[in-house]
Amino acid sequence: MAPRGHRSMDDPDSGDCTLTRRAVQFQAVAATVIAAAVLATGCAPDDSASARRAGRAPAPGEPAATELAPVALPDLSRSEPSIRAQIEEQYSSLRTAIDRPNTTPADLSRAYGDMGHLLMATRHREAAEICYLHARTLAPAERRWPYYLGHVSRLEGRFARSATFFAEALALDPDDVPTLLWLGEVHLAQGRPEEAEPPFAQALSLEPRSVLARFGLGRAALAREDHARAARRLEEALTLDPSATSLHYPLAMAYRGLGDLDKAQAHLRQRGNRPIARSDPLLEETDVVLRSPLAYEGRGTRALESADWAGAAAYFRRGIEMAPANAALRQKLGIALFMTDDFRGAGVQLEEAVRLAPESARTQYSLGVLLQARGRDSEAIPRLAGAVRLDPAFVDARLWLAGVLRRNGRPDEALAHYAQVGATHPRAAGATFGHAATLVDLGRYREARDRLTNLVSSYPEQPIFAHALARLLAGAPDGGVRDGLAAMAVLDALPEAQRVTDFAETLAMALAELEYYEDAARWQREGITAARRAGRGDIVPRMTEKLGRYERGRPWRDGAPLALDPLSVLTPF
Amino acid sequence: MGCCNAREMRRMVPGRRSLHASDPSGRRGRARIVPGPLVLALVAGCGADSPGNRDPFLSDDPRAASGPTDAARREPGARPDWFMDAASGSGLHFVHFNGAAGEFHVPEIMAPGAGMLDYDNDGDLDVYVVQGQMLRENEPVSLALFPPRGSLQPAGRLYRNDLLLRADGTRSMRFTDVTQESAIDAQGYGMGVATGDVDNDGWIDIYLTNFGRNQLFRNNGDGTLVERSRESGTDDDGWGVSASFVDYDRDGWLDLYVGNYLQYDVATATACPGRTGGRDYCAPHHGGPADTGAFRPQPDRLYRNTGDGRFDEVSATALQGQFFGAALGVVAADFDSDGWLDIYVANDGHENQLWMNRGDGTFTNAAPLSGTAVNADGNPEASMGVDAGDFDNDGDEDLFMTHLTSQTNTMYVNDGAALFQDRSAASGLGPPSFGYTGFGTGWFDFDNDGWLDVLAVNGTVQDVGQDPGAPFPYAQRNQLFRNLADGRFEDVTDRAGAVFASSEVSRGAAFGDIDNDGDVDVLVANDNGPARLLVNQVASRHHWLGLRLADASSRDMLGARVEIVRSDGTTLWRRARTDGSYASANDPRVHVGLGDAAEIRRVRVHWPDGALEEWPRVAIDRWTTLIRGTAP
Repeated sequence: MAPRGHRSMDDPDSGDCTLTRRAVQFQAVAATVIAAAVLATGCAPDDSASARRAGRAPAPGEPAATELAPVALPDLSRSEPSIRAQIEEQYSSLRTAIDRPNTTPADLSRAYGDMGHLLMATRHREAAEICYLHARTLAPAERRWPYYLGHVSRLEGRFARSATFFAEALALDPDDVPTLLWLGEVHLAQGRPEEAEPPFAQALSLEPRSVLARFGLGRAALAREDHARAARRLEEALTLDPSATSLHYPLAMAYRGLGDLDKAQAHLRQRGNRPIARSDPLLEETDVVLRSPLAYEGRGTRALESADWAGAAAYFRRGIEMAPANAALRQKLGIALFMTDDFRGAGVQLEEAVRLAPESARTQYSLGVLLQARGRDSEAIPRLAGAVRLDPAFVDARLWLAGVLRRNGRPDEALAHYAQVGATHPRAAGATFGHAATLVDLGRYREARDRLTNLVSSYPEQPIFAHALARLLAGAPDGGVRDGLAAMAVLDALPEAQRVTDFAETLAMALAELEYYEDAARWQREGITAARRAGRGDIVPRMTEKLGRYERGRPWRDGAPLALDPLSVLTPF
Repeated sequence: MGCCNAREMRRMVPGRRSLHASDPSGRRGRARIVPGPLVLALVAGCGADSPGNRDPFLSDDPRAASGPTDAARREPGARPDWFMDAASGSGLHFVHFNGAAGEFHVPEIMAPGAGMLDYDNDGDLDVYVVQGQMLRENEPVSLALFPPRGSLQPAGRLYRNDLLLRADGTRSMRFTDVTQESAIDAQGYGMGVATGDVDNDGWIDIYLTNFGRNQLFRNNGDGTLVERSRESGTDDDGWGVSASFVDYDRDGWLDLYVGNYLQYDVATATACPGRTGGRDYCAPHHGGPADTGAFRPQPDRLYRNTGDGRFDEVSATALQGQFFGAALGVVAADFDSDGWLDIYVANDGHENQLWMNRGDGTFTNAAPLSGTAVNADGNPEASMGVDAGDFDNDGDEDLFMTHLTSQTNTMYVNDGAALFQDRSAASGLGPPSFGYTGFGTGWFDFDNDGWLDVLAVNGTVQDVGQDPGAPFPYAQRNQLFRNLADGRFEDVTDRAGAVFASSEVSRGAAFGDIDNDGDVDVLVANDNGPARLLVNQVASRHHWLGLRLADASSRDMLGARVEIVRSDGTTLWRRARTDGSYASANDPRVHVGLGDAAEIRRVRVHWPDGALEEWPRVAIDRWTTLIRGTAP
């Protein structure tokens, strides 16, 4: 039901949901005048006595909320044409709704809200706020408008105002979990953890498996230096969503506060940037209103970041529909399709991207990677080389090219690329590792050992380097390099958490080198069992062959040529 | 009529050490060290007002905040601003040129920095301002969207400060462009400036970071500088932004850490979509990690000064265990008070690094466990400028850094053992910064009350709709935060004066007492705009202590920490440094606001090599030089 102030006061025929004729006339005139002026800031307040009176009390600090101000377009001079057209179209719809005599408050509220969405998506937040205020005035029982107003204020850093709007939304729907979570967030942002805890706790009671609620409670506890409670809540959150690697950092801080530095370090090693998934349908509505190639590219790229390959592909396709000659969109669509194993589709897009932008190193690189993944190394090499030629500082392309060259019997060329990366990026571990592996291919074991030794020292948290060094020490044909005891020492230094499937295999190599064949065979069997358990049946034949050698009392060094890779996937042993 | 300028004033100080020995021809020559008193008054105290006990914050009386710098004077009877822009009135006519030609190349939006340095050793701070140029080789300036001012080819400029002190205590600054006579030839697309005496000759040298090859200029001591980039081995051709001179190995020679930003090629880089779909500047991760078009960070460089004019690049061996981020801010301080200077690096979009000095020539990155790598949510932020200072007067170095719009600026509070707590929200520093993109920043006690305050200079890197209609729509207001002495800060921007009401695209901020009146002034470098010299008008009603910490060769002892015990027994800790902020070089001297303390009991100096000296009495309300090895 519309508020009293929206009913006609001078037209007995008008229904509850009909605007006053006078107000409509005013709005039509005002909108025309203001639109012509194209105010830079969007919706300008209007002090006219003939403006419609709103039927609700304003929120604290709410500007001119008791009167509906006419809406004006913001400055669109820098907008992409398709977005400008969309905004103008939406604006026209709004004006039509305002002008139409039989528009109900609910319809007009939606029209203002749609305009607000578009303005919010284009970050014209000041104007968006006024539109949402109007929508809220026209439909005061609708939770979504104070909810969006809360977000507008939040995104502008006006956290106290944001909290007021979220609280208003909650008054309309006390059990809305997303609103509770955001209310907690804006309290945290203001440095008020004690005020943040109740809404987070309420969200948790309503949604007992909520990771975000636990995350919020954990951070609130952390801010209050209640480290035990923080650790408990964050551990719960991590248990529910182990993929949310960003949880590890605050958890580490909680354990640090408890004085448990080992646990803190363990979590720090696992930290990442993957956020907790947030389901917020209302907020997503504002994210999908823009229709332009660049908007679709942005949305698709965000979907790529969150590993939503199919969603990303859909966005990129919509962008391509609007801009078929956009090479960047085709390249990214190629990446998305590649990730869904649609190699053929990826190939079509990337070939087209290269045709459209032959001087793009990124596009050449993506096509090269695709071709290599499909086993077409001879075609991949010129693409990757092209990427490096176009952008000599393109490290990823150079490393990928080096890897393909190495696997195709061109170690000297590979070595040159690894060396070049190493010279400009001395801390690029991938280049150093590739360099060492190529040196092994070339039989230059001593140099390989020295490089790997440096890597192990520089990256103690990366077990792959220690395994490679141990393997080299255990199995190098060069007797001056081969050193079973040293290999054992390297393995021995690995923390428990890094004793992965490869550990058993490498340890077996070292034991065999020291002529402890029975022990070697036992570890090799353990390794085979672990590999099977980890679903790595593909490496079992290789491991079984080694087992046979140990059972026959022979060390690995007399076996197949030593290669540092491929190592198996580092699964927990 | 004035009584003296700074140079003349120095000659009037009895027993002063001659830093500008005159040769028979009357030209200034290299410094000759003349034995003098242990404590030397340098320049201040020439009729300076007697500090009283009035708190200028509590009074509307214009006399509560005196304005002794002529260039910054207001109309009689008007309430004085806390800060006033004295740039144009003092001859500092510098306008930055960013070379933008409509292609939205990222370097255009990241510069410039600025420096305050006494290059001619006359006792007052001079100014260096970084300049841009066209980004593409041989591209005519006629293609620039915002043409450069003046007829000269755009290049960084050095301005000499001829500070005039009058008998009545008033003073005025006059800046003269001495770029040409100094022989500084800044050739690259300028980003920042760092200063330090790299050859221990008592004359400050200049290092310029560029989008392209960096340049080192050695000060000849005769008003000229000579380029020693290639010979020194510091001519890194990456994209340097902030750099720090730091004697990390305590061998008595300043080493150099250079923070490098992104791998960026103007030939291949493209613009990114802006908020309304139009073209705009790209963020480092503009497409996210899955996007191969994202820019990659460039490795930082650590150079060890070998003492013979050369620097060895020791990054690979000295900085252990981590990849580098896209560095924008660098500050060196002893965060765990073990006597060895550590280095904090603020990265844009990547984890920050806290390189803890192991005392054996190597560093280990302790940022993750220290709590300074990412924000409290575990996410890396777009860190820009950074500074270290003891804001809570508990004897350790706390960190403050500026961030992108929609992230808050961050304050990390040190527990003394280099374990930090993120107190951004609780301190009140975080929330007001949410809508701003901060760059240059610094801890400084602008009101001399004994508590370090904070300035953040702002300007967006993408059009966020805050500057509608502007041709370069990235301007924002700068922000000033006052320390409330209880762990919290208040945003006093609206009370700081008209210069804080205007919006510009601010980047660098250099802090120092440019008029030697006992308070900290700020030089702000604006992208595509004029340099501003914010002269402090508010601090003169509190006592202060000004210290220059030098060795026998008159070298500024960067990294030295000073412990000031006030008459009430409370202790303040400050350090000598030129680094911090963003792409800028600060006054190497140590300024200490004393609040209402009318005297101090003693000053202890912890020299960078670990030695400790104590001076029982040092005069307040004036600048004093403490020379190593001369304590009574």
